[in-house]
Amino acid sequence: MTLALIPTAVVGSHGKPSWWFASVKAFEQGEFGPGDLEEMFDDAANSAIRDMEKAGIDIITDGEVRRLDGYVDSYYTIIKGIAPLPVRRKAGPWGYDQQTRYEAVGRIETPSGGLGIVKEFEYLRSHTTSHVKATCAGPLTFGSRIHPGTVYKGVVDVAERFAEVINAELKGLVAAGADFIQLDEPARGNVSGEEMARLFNLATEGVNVKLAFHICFGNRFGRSRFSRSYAPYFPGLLKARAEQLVLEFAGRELSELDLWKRYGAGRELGAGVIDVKGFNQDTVDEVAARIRRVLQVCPAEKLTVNPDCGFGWSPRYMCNQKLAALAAGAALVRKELSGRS
Amino acid sequence: MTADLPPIPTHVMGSHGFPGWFWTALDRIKAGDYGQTDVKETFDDATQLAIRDQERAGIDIVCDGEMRRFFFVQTFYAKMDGLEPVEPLRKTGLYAYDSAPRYRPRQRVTVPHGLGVVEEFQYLKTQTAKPVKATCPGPVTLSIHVQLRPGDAYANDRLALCWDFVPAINAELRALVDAGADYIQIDEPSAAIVPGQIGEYVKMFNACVEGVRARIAYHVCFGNLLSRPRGKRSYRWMFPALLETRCQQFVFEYANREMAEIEHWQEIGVDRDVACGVVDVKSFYMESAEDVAERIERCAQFIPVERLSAVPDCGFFPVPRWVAFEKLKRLAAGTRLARKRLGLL
Repeated sequence: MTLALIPTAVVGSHGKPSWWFASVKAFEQGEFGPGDLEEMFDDAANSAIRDMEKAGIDIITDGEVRRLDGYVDSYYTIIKGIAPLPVRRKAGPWGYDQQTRYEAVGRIETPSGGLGIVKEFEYLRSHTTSHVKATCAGPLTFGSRIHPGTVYKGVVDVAERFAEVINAELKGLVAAGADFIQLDEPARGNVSGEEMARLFNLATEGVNVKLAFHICFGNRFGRSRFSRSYAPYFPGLLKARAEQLVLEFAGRELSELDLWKRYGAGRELGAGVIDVKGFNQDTVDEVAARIRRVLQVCPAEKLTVNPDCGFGWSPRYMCNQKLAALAAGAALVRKELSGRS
Repeated sequence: MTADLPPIPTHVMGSHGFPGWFWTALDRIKAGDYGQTDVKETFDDATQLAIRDQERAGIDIVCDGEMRRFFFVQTFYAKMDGLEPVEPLRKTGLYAYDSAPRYRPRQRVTVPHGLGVVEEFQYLKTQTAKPVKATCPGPVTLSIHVQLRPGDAYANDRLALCWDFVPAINAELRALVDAGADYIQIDEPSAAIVPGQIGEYVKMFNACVEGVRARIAYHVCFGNLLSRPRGKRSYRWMFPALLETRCQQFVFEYANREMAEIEHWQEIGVDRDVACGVVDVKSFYMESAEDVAERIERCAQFIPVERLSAVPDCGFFPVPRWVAFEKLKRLAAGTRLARKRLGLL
């Protein structure tokens, strides 16, 4: 099955159904056995896959429905060598200061079975005939909430250890048949583009499939965390051996598209043309207009269109509306392009 | 009021971040654990602390932090007659517009004893020597959580419901002036959320401020439910209709929109004051004073500095208090920097 020109893809996570939230709470309160949880996750993955297929998305994921809370939290519970630090603020509106942070107290180790991403992928692969993408947090994001303590020299040192962990996981993904893998690096501290690229290359060494690199500005509860500019990361970031960069534009009023004109040469762009942070429904015409703007800086053959980020912090209905608009907007532009040629 | 103000004055939009203990107290109040005195103490303290935060941050024109309001307009529905609550459509998962409490009209809606904005203002006046601003939601925004259907008291006509709020708002604003308010802001985020009737909204606005002898500001944004917008983020379609509003100041959001459409002022023509949002209330990124100053300088390219004020994009209700306080300090510091660079000091 070949991909359409300007294929649509999701970034990773899907909007979760109400019963997902209720079930996770039940599990945390000890009302679910592991079998109940497994069944619930499988069904949530099936629903997410079905939503994406019905929306007409070309490259899908499992919706990352098995990852609890804030993207990497699930992993922190199974990683050895880290200990939780007290949370300084627990009341009031959510903020990054309410997340549990950890300190390295020994060498960071993962369970012998890995992080579980291979299993997620195998389930996805066997439950769809669509093109699929596997996603994994990047080394800096993995280490983002682990204080180096006295064991590691600093955040980059922690990230280097995670690059090894990720590398093993990615090789497992390739062995399981993954041919398109995306590393996500939303939480990168104050590390430069060049350093991010070096860590990306460490994590993907010997991983010989199509690689994408997603860099955004944070999306917890639909709110960004970093200064919304890619300019400081270029040109250092170009050293990453990623065939595709997956970047957010829609929520930023398409600012900095010109950076791609300057630096994009030869590389694929996964352009964010759907705002995952606003509740307003992107119309088909708006999406098409954004895609046309992106085409001014990136040739159609090199372009994939996607939402700005995952929908993990969006209600499911909103996610589905937006995915449908993404598919329809891309279809509209494709039609225009084929009419012209 | 303007006598003591520096060039490019800073003000807040309205709401301040609630402290953690205040959220806990609100839960206890809801559970019936607090007596009348406890409740008064709690709200008064929260208000005083919000004022102190603004003063310490160096904000020129302060508000009461809207500490007596909850989720922006929800508190006002308790002041209305003729509404019945409806279960939220969705109660689990991530909070969005379909999670909010809703109401249906049993009959035409009235506001028999006022909206309570006057009482908020009276308290504010006793707690600060700074110039102050009173804020009141506009009619469209007050209507937003009222669900209309064919066959109800409004025959599914939202504009008719909005017009029913106009006399109540007008009475509230006149009472504010009697209580000493000389600067009043009408908040109408829902103008962008329920779009397409801007001409009617302008008429409604002008009816709301009829005979209100104070400086009137008009805040239109794109929604801010838990720091997320709901309307299409563009002011362009509202002009030139909005120029017919009898306000002395527009208060618009720009920081979260990468300053998009600021250049539109050149086309519109600046015929009154403009307060520009130069601090992003929807992001956890702490803008530096430099970031804020750069945004103000960008505004100053299109808006004469004597017309310009610097504000956060919207209220701080959905963010942690420390974030609100820190962002206010940066607003003040960035504005000082911009004043210097623009040769205003």
